[in-house]
Amino acid sequence: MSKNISRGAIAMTMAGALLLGACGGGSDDSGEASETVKIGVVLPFTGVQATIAELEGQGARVAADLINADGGVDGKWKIELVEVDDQLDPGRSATVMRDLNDQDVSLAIGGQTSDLCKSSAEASQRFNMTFIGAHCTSPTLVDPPITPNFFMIGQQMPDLADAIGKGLAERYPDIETWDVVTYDVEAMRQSWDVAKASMEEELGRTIEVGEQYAVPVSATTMRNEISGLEATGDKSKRGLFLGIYGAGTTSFIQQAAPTGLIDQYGVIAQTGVYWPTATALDGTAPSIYNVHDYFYACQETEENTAFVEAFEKATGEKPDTGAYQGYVAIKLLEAAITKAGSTDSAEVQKALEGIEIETPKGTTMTVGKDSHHGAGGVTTATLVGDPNAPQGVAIDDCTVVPAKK
Amino acid sequence: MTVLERLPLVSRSGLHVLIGFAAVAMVMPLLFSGSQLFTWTTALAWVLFATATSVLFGWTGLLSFGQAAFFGMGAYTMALLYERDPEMSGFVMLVVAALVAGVVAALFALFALRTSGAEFAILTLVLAQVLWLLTYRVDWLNGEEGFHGLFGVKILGGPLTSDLQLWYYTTAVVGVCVWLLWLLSRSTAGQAMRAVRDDPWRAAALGIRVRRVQVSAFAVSAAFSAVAGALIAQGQGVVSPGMLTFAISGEILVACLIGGTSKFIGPVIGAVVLIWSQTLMSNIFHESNIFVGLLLLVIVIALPGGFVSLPGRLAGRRRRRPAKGESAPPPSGAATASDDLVEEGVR
Repeated sequence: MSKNISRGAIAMTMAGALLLGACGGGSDDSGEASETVKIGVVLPFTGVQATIAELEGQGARVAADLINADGGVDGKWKIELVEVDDQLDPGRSATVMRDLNDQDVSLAIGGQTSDLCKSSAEASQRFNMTFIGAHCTSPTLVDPPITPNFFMIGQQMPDLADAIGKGLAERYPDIETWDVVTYDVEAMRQSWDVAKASMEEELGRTIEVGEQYAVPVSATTMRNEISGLEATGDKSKRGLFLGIYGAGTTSFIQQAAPTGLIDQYGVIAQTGVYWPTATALDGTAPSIYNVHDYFYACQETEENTAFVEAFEKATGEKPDTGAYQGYVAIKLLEAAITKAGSTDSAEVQKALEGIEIETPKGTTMTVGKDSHHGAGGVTTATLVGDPNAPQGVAIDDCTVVPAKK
Repeated sequence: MTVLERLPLVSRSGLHVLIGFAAVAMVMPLLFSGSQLFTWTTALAWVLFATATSVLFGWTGLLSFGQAAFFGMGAYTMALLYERDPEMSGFVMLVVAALVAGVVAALFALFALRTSGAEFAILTLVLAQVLWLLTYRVDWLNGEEGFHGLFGVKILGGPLTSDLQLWYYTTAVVGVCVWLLWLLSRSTAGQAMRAVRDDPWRAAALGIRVRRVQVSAFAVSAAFSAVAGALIAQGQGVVSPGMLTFAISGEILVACLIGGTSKFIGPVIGAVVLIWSQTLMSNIFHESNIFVGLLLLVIVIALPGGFVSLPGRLAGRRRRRPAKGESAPPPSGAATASDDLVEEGVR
């Protein structure tokens, strides 16, 4: 009997295989390849990072729309974005990169985290696709690049942390002790180490560290950490350094709000993305000194105005740093295709090495010939809830820090 | 009489398992390419993982919430070996990964099996969580960064340069491993595992060393799970702490449940259904994981014995349908118990 069932099960599996084959999409007809360049956008459009990913994807869409409205890349190629969802899973990203290859996509951007950038880069290398890690920031991914086809434009955590450390020392020299809550990942733990070193260098004294916690990236409750922070007494001379982002920041603020903890600190600083959390708090976001690649209100360049207007027109919202990264990644590919005079992946990779573009920030982004990293400077600013400000968040006290030469 | 019953030599040697995998290896590339073939490659590695998990969960009756520990251990062992010696053969790496996981599992089981049931299951969960934490705490495990470049692992003198080569390689390794597990299931050791599962006291009275059987099952399950993890690592090219999470341990148990553990082929079907439902749902729905969860829930509720119980249920329903002039059988009891016996007992 079991053998009959085994044969039946095999038959079912094979029938399923045939059905899947019938349902499966074949590769696209690329008859319009001479006039269209397909660019893959690989992001976790679903799951816990979906809100951030949507803004990142929208930045890429705005860039593509602006370029297409201007006649296309070098007046020759219209950009067609092909969006795929990696679900924040390296295994899934390996699959969706193959989906892109099936659709004749040879250029792609995306990569929310280091491991997603790695798996996307590894998978795309198999097909000699060019992959620009737009949102990952780990120094270990570049210089040398993890694969020859990989480029990264997210500003590296040491640069971000160094900028926020110097900014904090300049603005809040009287803070005596820092409490620290970071994600339990190397990049975020390192962000505190670098920021602390920068503060100490600027202030010429040792920084005292109070409570220090490392929480899992998936943490949805931080009540234990908040209780620990509450117990530290007078906080007027204390600062709180947050190396968390996304849902973690929201959880922390919401869970800390009833305790009054956040208002007691002399200053709160954060190296992770704060904008989506701040806007979600609808005018009540606590004041946090933040650092990232970009804040829309911190520069008045012509390109930034056009980008912000187009983004607002498309979404009704202001662009955040993730949207900016998506935008810059597409602009970088535009520049590389123009320089190469071709959409061929190998030619584009060659063109990307050493390329320079002007960013909406007014700084120059230079892609290292050997490092494959696009250094484009960082921005520090204070974000605070304000019901009268766009999306309920005011951006003050901006400093644009150009990339180090 | 089935074909296999007419060919006892083939049946006893498990030759049909090898022939089945060889056929699948040849047919699939004719039907699929690109990401679909890669999904089948991933599904095959999960077939091995599910079958290995079934050694513990299905054959021996030990519930483990920490199978990801060994899955991830295999992946990390391969990554570390590749980092130390990129010229090492991938096959050697697989063997080392299996041995490392097997030894760790045996040592763990020697202590953990002083408990049983839920306590044992919780201990396995703790093991996986500890290993997951170690990836962040131990410098040479590289934390969130993990490892990359595993496409470069050399098989027969060179790396696998295409997805087709990866497919053949994965099918061959999984085929041989599943064949070995088939032989184990038919061996005295396999029968001892099932005896321990059904009634450990009676098994002990029959002279079976229960603890030794359980420890062996744990080690075997871990070793083959590690091979599956190493294959996934090779396929993805990267290894990260995500391979050690509870989600992986949960998914592989779900694969065993939806396929059913009463037949050898159950976890095989379960793994294929799981991986393909995840892939196809993500192409259809925005928040696909919700729908995958619902689908699997429906399958488990509708078919508590898994997909392998479906033919038996259908046959039982036909038998219970009264012929004209006959009275209906009792609504429950004898017929149901009989079906359950057929499903659970006969292999």
